Amino acid sequence: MKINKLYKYLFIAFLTFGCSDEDIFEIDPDSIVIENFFQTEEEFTLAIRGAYNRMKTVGYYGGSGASGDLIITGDLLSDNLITNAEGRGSNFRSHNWQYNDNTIPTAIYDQAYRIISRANLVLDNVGNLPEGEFKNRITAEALALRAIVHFDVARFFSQIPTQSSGASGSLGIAYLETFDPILLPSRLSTVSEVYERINADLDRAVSLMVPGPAPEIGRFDLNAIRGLITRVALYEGDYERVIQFGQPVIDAEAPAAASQLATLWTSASSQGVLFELPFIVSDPLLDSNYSQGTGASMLAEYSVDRAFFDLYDQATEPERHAAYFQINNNWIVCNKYINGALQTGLNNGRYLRVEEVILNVAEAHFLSSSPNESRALATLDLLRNVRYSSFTGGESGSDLFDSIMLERRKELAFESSDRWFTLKRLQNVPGIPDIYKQGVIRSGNGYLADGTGTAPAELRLPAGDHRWQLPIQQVYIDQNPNIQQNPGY
Amino acid sequence: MKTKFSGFLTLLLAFVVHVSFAQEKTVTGIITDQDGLPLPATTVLVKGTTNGTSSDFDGNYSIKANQGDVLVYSFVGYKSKEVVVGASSTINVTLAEDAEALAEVIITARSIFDVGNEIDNGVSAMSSEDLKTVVNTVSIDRALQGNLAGVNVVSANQAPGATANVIVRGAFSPTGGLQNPLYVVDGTYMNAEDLVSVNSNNIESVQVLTDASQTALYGSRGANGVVIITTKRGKKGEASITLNTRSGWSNRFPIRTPLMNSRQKLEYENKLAGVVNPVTGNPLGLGVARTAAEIDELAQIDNPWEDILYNTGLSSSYNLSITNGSDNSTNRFSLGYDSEEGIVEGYEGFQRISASLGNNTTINESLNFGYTVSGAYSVIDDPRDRRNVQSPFWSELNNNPYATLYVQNPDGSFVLDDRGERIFNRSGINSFGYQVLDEVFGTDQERRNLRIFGSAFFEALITPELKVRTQIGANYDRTQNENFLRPSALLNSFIGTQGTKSDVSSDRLDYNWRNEITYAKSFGDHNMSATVASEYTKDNFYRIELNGRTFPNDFQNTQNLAGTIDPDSETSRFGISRFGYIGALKYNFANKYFINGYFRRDGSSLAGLDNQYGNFFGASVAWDIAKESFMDSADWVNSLKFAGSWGTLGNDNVLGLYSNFTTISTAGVLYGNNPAAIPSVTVANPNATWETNEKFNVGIAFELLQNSRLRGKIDYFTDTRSDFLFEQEFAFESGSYTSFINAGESKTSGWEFDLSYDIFRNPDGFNLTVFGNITGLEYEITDLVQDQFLIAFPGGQVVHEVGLEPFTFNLVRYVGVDPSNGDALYLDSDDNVTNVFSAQDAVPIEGKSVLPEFFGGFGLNASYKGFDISTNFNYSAGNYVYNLTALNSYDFGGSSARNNRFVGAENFWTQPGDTNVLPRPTVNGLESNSTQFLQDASYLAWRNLTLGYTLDGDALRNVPINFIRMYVQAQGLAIWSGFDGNPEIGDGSTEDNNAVDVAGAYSAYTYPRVRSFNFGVDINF
Repeated sequence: MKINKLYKYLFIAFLTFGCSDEDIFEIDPDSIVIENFFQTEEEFTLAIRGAYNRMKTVGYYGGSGASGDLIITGDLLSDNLITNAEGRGSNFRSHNWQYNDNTIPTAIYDQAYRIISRANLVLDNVGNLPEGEFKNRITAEALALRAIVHFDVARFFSQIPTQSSGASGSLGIAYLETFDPILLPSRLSTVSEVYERINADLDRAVSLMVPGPAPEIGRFDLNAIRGLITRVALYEGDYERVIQFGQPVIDAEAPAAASQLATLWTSASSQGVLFELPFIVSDPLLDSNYSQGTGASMLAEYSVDRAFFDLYDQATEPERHAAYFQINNNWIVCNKYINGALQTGLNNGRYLRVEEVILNVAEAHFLSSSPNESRALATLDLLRNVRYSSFTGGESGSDLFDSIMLERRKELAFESSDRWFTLKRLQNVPGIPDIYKQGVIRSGNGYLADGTGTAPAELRLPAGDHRWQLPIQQVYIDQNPNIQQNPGY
Repeated sequence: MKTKFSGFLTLLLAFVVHVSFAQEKTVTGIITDQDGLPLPATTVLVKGTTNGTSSDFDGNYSIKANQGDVLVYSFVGYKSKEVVVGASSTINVTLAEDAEALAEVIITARSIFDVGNEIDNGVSAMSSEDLKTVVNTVSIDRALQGNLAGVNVVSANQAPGATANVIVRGAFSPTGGLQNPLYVVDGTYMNAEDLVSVNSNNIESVQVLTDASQTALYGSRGANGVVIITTKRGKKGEASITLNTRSGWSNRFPIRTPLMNSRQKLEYENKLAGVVNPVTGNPLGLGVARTAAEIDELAQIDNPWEDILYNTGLSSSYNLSITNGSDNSTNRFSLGYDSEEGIVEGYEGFQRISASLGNNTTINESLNFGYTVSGAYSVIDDPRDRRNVQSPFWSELNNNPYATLYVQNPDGSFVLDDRGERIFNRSGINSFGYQVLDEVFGTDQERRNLRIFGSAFFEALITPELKVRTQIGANYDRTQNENFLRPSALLNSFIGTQGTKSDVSSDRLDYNWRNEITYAKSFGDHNMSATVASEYTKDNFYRIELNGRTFPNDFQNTQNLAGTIDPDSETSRFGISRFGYIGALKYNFANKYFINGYFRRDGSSLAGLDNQYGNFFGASVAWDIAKESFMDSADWVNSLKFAGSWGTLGNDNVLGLYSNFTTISTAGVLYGNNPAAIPSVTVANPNATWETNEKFNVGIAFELLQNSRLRGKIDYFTDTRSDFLFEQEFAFESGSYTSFINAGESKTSGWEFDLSYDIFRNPDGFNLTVFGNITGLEYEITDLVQDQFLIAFPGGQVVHEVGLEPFTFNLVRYVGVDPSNGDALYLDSDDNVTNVFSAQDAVPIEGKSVLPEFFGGFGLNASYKGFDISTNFNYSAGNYVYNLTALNSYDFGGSSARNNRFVGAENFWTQPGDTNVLPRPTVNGLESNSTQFLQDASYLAWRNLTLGYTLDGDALRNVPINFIRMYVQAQGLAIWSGFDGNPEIGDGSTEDNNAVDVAGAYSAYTYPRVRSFNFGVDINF
């Protein structure tokens, strides 16, 4: 019995040796509780990189193979590309403007707001930093990122201020200025309110940003923010502002020389790049938006329209011709992303280059309320001089505008959806030829290199059509009933 | 005192004697011990048969037997006794105590965690006999299909080594779809994916606990039901050796929807090429126009992709078990090898070596210990399970029959590559221009698991009434995944690599530790016991991932040889801990009236930090009506029990890991070459707490007519989940975060009927038993914190809304084709017909949800002398599946017509007046998110047919063999359903599933059904 008692006490001790809260407290070994973060400069650096990093996803630069990234969406919605009938038919509906609230051309809306929330998280905590250059830089970066990503949503999903006479008063987008996961925001009721906020953020960013180069690749510096301002201002028709912020950028940054184009489009060189997303081995491959594989085993999603290809002159601009195009399997395909320096198909995401700023400023001089054609021409020639071995030049009047637009279409093809936005924003710009105000007019060519083969089923998207504003995916509305669908869907 | 205590504990034994036999004579009597005290629950068996009964609490028994039969009386802890039935109808027996066997008394009367046999309702069970006829070599969960009332088993897919979804009484989680139960193997907690480590040859019984009173003791993890698997134990006596062998083969089960042959597909493409835009008159650019001569030529190639991608998969299984028992110790050892190739060309399937060792030892009269340890090493080589061209199953349905396997010259000879190998043809094969055999032969993947699990206990009787016990169960799993893309694979050219390799290794150790004190005492007819216990469980997980690229050749692939190691290589870990106190009281009067009660308080590391604990309690009553004196005259009633229970259980397993913190992490995030930090998608909800599952059950269990010829039970139950956990998705505009919330209440109610009837019973002649079960279920969301929750899956949505079944489909209503112009017509949200598809017109489709309304199974067992035959069927009705496979295979839009189609895809609108057709082709193709391909997935399946012959007794007198059983078995014989394709949908596609996917919501391209044949021999020495 004695030994039994011993056991009894032993086991009762086991039982009553209960557990406390600590025994069921588990803390994640792989992450840091957010309240304990944002204490050091290094932590802010990590967080701002995390915000930029989300641009390496489908909609921006995700390389999913679904042809929905910023580097192709605007091209396949307009007249640079034709569905390759031997490809997988990626984003085929969008190419024919058959999108609806169930199937939309790009995931940029979803991704943009994730980036915004990360930028807002940094901004909400930036008060933890001591006053000084570091704080100013981080604040400026987060503000500029928040502004420009909102701008991307606005230009796809709302009207662009210069798009129609009623554009500024038409429905805007939700503009988020704090990190709050449970908010159910509404769209701002007008486009002009959206642009006011974008400009306010960009103005603050530019005033805070420390001059000089960014601390590392993939971060905004002062010229990047100025360049972004020229893009926004051009869409608003504020040409003086384009010139004001664009000229210092042009003065400071040289465009890539013709001889640098090949390495620019392997990402070995970044000449002229104002802001890019850095890609490393194991990151997504951007070429899959256009094609996969090389040589005879290539499979292409989209071919370049022969009529567009013919705008390039192999004799006078062989470097750009070679950097942009490849003829393979009797298709003309986009070559910009195939030849990665680190790996085939692996390239940085070029969000803004000085070449665009040059074109923005040239256009602004031409369209300014006090037009200056000679400065427009001189600015345009900054680019033409480094693209062509020879060109006629010396244009004036609508010829000059034609040349600015031609150079814009050629230089910025397959890069930042510029063609779509150009055709969208020019629809109500006064003083330009009518041809720029008619929306998309496709050549009717087929997908083969000689222009034959299956042509797009739809060839025209007239100006003023509701489809210039992409539909809000119904699931976004399901999740947030305060979001209003665009008219026509 | 010891005697009584032993007797009482024996009542807790989990044996269920279902069968008796027809006879002219009823033998009755009383069984007592040496002291003249009655021995309850003593087994009385007619020797050489499985027919038996057990004595009641007063030691009385009644059994039908032939004169000359031998009755065997056995009671654990006593020496068995055999008595020949003579002329007398009364046989009173006294059993002598067997001191040597005492250990077993205590050991088998284990713990409050064991299921008693005093209540039948709330438990569904299969014995080793039941399992013998249906068991699949490696998958025990699939063997349960259709055999257990209240338990719906849907195989996730039929890949070798794959697991099944086991759904107990319609258990579901509003967030993640169906919820698998907790598996308890000899006291060790396991997940569904661990089950493949359990060799089915070692299983003694499977019990599924469905109601609150039985499940409560597993409270914190038992809310979705508990499956208790008990493995075989050693027995006292001579050593016994059993060898089980089995071999067989399996093939692709017919796909049930014919695919086009070459000519049909070519004519379809031709027809489609003629379709023009009705407004512009321009061709749509779909299909390919060919001349009749071109079609004739191409149609000569009619490549059967099914034959190319699949072959006959061989399987084999060997298992050796040895048991012995000495005076104070019993042992069992087993060693097994199983292999199952699977049906996909180029993969080796599943192989497993398993072993187990068990021992129970008596130290002295009051101290015992025991353990079981099992280990399994398995290797799986299966194809990827994607929804694209890299899946053999996708390719089977989509590869054009007119495309050749290899690249050929015009003269028919094969083009060879620079290594002299034939080249897989990609021309015209499908819209991806890729042949899956490049994936099959160009990748090398293998998953290796080493699983070791077991439990050990130590217990002591401090006084005859007071027992203390401690038990530890642990489950260790080491998983290693290697995935190698060979440098020669064409896939490299698409992704810009020269060979890639991924090595993933993980370690998981889960353990639970229980301590309990039980006090049990009887006063006359009053029997009671009280238990207090505590339980701590802990899960630990650690993972290493190493990715590299650029390899020198196809055959060497260690990361040493990688040109570069990818920067996303990483390690990670997690832990989950839970702690609970349990109190339980049991009382019965004369083993006629039973009252049990329990209470438990559980804390979970997963719950919100302000709300980590939950309190749960319940009670049950039972009445053994047959023991009442007023039933004495009812000869046709052999057993009749009523049981009722009510109680609450907690469930925390929906909560995400560390979802009680909002965190920010650099894990796996690189921006350029620099680390970056991103906030977690899940934001903390400090109030998220245990979901409470309130279970109510009433039922009767009976054995009626001519000595239990008709056996069965009927249950009615309700299952109310209040504060159910849901992963709420917040607005996209606010950053697409989620949080776990207690979102509402759902109610499931239903009936279970489980019957078996012996049509013929003759121990020396023909026996035939038919059995069947049916479970009917109704489900409803009864409360919700917001109007609705929508959950998307590929192709559509389901919705939770008050008043509707959970997972009701939420789709745009398709109403057919406008005969005048071929437009697809839909109803808008105001019920007006429209030809404009818009997702905002999606509405809940009432009465059509993912969840079945009825399911069950039926079959028969028959025997004649040494021969036995058994077969079983199962069925499911009332559940709907979004048939994404059919949508894809009838579609004409985009590039889809460049893939092979289902026969019938050519039946689209071409001219005014066409009815019963698919819509007029457009570049858009068929819209997803509509009801057009929402299909009733009800089915009836013929699962199994087994024919066996057993040789024993006199025939083997001169050889040292006790018995030999030989059998042939066919599985997956037939299926009847109106569904296009396989109606039994577990996972649409395991690789593409994400957390919010709803199991069974949509069909995709997962590993297909198989039909298999086996031949087996079991020998016992």
